[in-house]
Amino acid sequence: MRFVHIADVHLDTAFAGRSDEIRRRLRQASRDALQRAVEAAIAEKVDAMLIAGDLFDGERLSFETERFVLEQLGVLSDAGIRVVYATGNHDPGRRRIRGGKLEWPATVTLIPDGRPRAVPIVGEGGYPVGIVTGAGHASSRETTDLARELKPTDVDLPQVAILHTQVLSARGLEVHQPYAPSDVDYLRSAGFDYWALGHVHLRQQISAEPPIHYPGNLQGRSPRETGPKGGLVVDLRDPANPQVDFREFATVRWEKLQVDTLGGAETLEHLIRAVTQKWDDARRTDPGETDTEWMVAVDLIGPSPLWRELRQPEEVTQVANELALQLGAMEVEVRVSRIHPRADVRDHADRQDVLGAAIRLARSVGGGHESLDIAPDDMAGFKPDRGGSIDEYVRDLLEGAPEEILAQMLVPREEGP
Amino acid sequence: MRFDNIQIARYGRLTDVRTPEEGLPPIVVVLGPNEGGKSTFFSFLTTLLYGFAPATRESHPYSPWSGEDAEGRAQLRLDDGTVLDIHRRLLSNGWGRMVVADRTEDLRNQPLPAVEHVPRPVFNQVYALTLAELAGLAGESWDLIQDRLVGAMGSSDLVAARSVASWFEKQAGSLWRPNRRGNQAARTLAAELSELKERRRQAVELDRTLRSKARELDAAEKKLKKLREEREHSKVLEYRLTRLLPIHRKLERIAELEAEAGDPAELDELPGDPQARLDELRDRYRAAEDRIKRLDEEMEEPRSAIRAFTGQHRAWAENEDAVRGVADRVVGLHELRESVDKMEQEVRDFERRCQVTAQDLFNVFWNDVDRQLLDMVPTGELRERVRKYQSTREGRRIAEESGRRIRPVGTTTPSPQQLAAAAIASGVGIIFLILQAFTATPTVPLVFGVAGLTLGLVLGVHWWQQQHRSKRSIHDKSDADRMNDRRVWEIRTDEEDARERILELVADLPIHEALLEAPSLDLPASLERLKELMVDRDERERSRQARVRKLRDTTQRIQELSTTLELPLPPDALEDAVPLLRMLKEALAARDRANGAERELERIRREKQQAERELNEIAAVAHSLARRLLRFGGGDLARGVQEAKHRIDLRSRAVQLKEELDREYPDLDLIREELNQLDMSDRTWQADSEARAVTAARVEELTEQVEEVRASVETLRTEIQHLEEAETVDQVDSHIESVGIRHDETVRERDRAYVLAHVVREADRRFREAHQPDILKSAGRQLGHITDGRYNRIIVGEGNDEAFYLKGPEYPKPVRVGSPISTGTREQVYLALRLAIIDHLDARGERLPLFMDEAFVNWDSGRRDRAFELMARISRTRQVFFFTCHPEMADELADRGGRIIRLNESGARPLSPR
Repeated sequence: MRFVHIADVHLDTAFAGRSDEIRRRLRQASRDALQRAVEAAIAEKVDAMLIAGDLFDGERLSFETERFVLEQLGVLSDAGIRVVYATGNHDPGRRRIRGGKLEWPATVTLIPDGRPRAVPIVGEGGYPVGIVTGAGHASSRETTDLARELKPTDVDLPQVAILHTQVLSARGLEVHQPYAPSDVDYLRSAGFDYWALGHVHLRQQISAEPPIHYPGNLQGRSPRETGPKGGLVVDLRDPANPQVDFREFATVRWEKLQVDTLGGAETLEHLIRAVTQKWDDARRTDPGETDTEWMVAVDLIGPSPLWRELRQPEEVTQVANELALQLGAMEVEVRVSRIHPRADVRDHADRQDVLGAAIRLARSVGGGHESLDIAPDDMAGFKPDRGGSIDEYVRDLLEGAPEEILAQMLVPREEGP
Repeated sequence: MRFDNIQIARYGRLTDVRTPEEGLPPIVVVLGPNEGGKSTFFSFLTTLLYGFAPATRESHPYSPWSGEDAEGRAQLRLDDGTVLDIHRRLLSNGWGRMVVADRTEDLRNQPLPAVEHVPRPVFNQVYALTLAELAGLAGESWDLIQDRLVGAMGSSDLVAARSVASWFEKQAGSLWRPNRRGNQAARTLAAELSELKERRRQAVELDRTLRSKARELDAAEKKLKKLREEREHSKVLEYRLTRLLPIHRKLERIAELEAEAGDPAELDELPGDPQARLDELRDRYRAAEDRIKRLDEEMEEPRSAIRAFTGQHRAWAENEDAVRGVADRVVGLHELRESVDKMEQEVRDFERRCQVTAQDLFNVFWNDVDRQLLDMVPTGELRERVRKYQSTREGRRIAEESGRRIRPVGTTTPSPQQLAAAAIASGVGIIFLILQAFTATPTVPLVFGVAGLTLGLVLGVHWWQQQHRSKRSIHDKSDADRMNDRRVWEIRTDEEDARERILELVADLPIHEALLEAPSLDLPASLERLKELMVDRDERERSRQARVRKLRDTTQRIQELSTTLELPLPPDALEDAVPLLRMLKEALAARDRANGAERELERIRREKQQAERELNEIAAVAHSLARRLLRFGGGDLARGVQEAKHRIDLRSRAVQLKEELDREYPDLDLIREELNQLDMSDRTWQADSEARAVTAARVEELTEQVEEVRASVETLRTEIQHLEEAETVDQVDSHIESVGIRHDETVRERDRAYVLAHVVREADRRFREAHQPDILKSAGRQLGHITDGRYNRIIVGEGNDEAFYLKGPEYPKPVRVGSPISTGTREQVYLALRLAIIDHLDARGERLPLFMDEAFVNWDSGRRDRAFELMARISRTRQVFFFTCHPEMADELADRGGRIIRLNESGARPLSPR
């Protein structure tokens, strides 16, 4: 059996680009990626496409996306490719908001809840080539280990499990809720020839024998989700020698760029040149596809003679626009919160004056050694109902505070406010 | 800490500056003009304590102008008495070494451990008090001064903490405030979010509408499809009734006619009008018969021509080439015979000429001479030998002739007549010359005179030459005669040899002896001529004999041809060819006429055969037609003709109808196929015009309905298109996400600014609480010294009043430090606070030197005395460096124990301290 394994498509994600056009392009990028996956499935002449949850991002599906999904699945249906779609926490089956209302093609098997389904996959010539067994999320907060519900069938064919789960030993879990948690040892011992997982957006192989894979999300959605994104083409015709190949389907790629060599950049042109140099160095080893569109988050770090200019939002916007041109990127986000004057905090922290006192106080509060007398109501962004104390909130705010205080209080070489 | 001595090797403009070896006192006065190096000196001391900054030769402001390394050293004595030897040098990086009690430590570019409790920026700003700083107090807000003194501990590189805090608060306030006053970015974004949520609600509503319209569109499209199908069905019906039905009926009529006309095979090839056809066949039969008869008559003429071509004609005609050949030979025979006769005459002429030539040479007839011997004589060689002989013979004759001239008889003697003639000619000439002198025309006598003299002169000279020769020959005669005889004898011998060589060549020929006695060139010439004549004669003879043979052969062949071909040659055939050719011409003419007659006869025969075939065909057709017509009429030909005519007419009408259909309906085959596929039993085939009208009305009605629904579909599509162009939920969601992030960032930025403001204020408050009392207490003591006890306390206002107040014995009521107070007092307070801060800064560490740069130059003498006294007091615990350009001030300090170090104008050389 050969199949395409994708997950976490998150159609209709609410992207937060700067402009309407960027947001529209990002929404379209998810659709483009799915279309590429469908085209690849047809080109590769696979027997099935497995969607391991989170095909949709939220409760509502736009009319346009709805038509697009049915159209693409129709294309697969016309090509005789069966689709097995197990729901995830973003598109749970019980609420029937998505899957239940759509008129799926007959070749699509929707697994909307935790009850396991075994789907025979028929290959070329009409003969069965494998069995896909899966379970879906009935709710958006599925907490049971659904993996333990899945058992391979007795048929002597390649057995594949499909599940939206958080394997507890996987990497990149910090940004995901531990829904349908599962244990890798159990997955290994369950008797399947391949586990097609979804939920964790970082592409990774959990196990080699048997192969257990997260394909990652189909299209990156934020600067946190960097690198090439796509799906896996899996060949289990010889289960003892499975072939798993990554294919890049994403048309838009997110990348982060940290630039901490700005001490000598005296002008914005120098700064842009430094960033461009860093970008070129990065792309030399990872140039991406020829038609890749880039979303770049540039983190400017450390001392810079331009720290004052970079405190001006207009200047930052101008730098971002110029960088977008220079890097050939769709959008560049420039972060300047970690930029500070060239003066080194360490040179002033021991001063026996109010500057030294302020630096030491910021460090002390930021380090949790003491608290400031600040009322929660005085804070615009502190929400007690979200958990956490006012002190924790304040501590979080004080990251980089010594540099900021130094920047504002020091006169000779850096003018004050 | 104090500097015991200082050595500046190179530092900025200072070169080789050395303080006295005995050490520096607590007060050091650096005296030099403005720009003399005092700032450089202070920088050097700072560098000794803290290292080079910046630490690269290229960027350091005091790298020596000479390009050498900045370098210097000093000896320091710490408060506990420890002595440090410091040596620093700026190589590519800062280098430093410290010797403490014979222990050397590598400083690199690090500060001395003893100064680490005071950061370099603080030392630079707080431990150096300048005139400019004091002078600037007048134009500065005391609040700021106070902040700098107490908050910044005198450092000039800090913004007042309260200003910074206010700035942070202002930033925070521009982003968000608990109240709703003013413009607040976070609240603006929040409002935008609310508006977006409303837009989202509208988008959700639009989405519902869109889906509803989509469902409507789906239903309308299905209805439209159904209506179109029904309309198509009605159109088909209408099509049948209006188009197919007439065709169908015509086809039915054709079928009826064809049925009535009977079996088409029976009518095949029957003429449309059988009676007319029968009449036509009869006429044609008769015409064919007449033609055959006429052709028989035409044959007689060529036949008679053929008969006239006899066997004799045939024999002559068939041997035409042979006859012509014989005729040609007869014509040539006569000429040949004449040429043979001519040849015989020529041969005889040549034989006669040979004999004439031969009889001069030989003593036999020409034909008795052996031709072979004659031909072997090389006449060319013979001619050469004869020439040789004749040459020798001529030589002998000349020699003999010479011998005769040598004899006297042979000499010539000039005659007297010759001499007389010369005299006469000369005399006549002279006479004419004389005459010309007496004549009117002297030319003629002159010419004759000159001619006569010339002739006379010539004759005279000739006579003299002969006379001379005669005398010389008589003298030479006897010797020549003997030599000539001898030579004649030798030539004669040669002559005989030459003649013998001639005879060798012609020895075998019977040549006359006389010709050989003295052979001449006639001999070879005659021999050659005879040989040529004999050759020519032989050639003529051979030619004659050839013609004779040809004549004989020709005659023989004519005879043979006549015999072989059995030609009855005329008696004079060998004499004249004309009769022969006339007979041939007659035979050929007869043959040509016979051949033409043959061809004509053949043509007539073919034409006759054709006419006979036509006759038979017409008879067969007529017979066949009559037989078929008899069948139609049951044996009655007339009735048969009538019946056939009727059925043929029916069939013609059917064919005519078909042709009309074909013309009218080019796609008749398709229509026929379509009709074949339709159910003919359908009642619609029997429909009348009313049914057609009903069907057409239904089609029209359905068309209207289709248009109506189609318009509805178009409207729905347009509406859906517009709805799709409107903002969708996911678009609004993205926008909300974007604005939400900006809102969160703004709120966070606000809270951060707020917290930072809080941190700065709190730090300021805590710092003041921690240090202000000690500083004010110490400053009060210093102020008491400076003001000679007038003010001895500095206190802070109560509550929110943070202003400084002064008190003293004379001022029990606090005096607020500010604008009402005099400038001098403000400077004194400032100095007191600065000194107190310095004491405070290094209270727990090494006491660092204090630097005063023209600090008291503007003070009056009283205040300055007190300030100097204060400096002297301070110098007990802290070394004080005084920089001044005023010698009198330097002297005052020297009087108080200070030591002066002089910097000259070039700034380089120290003068010896006093």
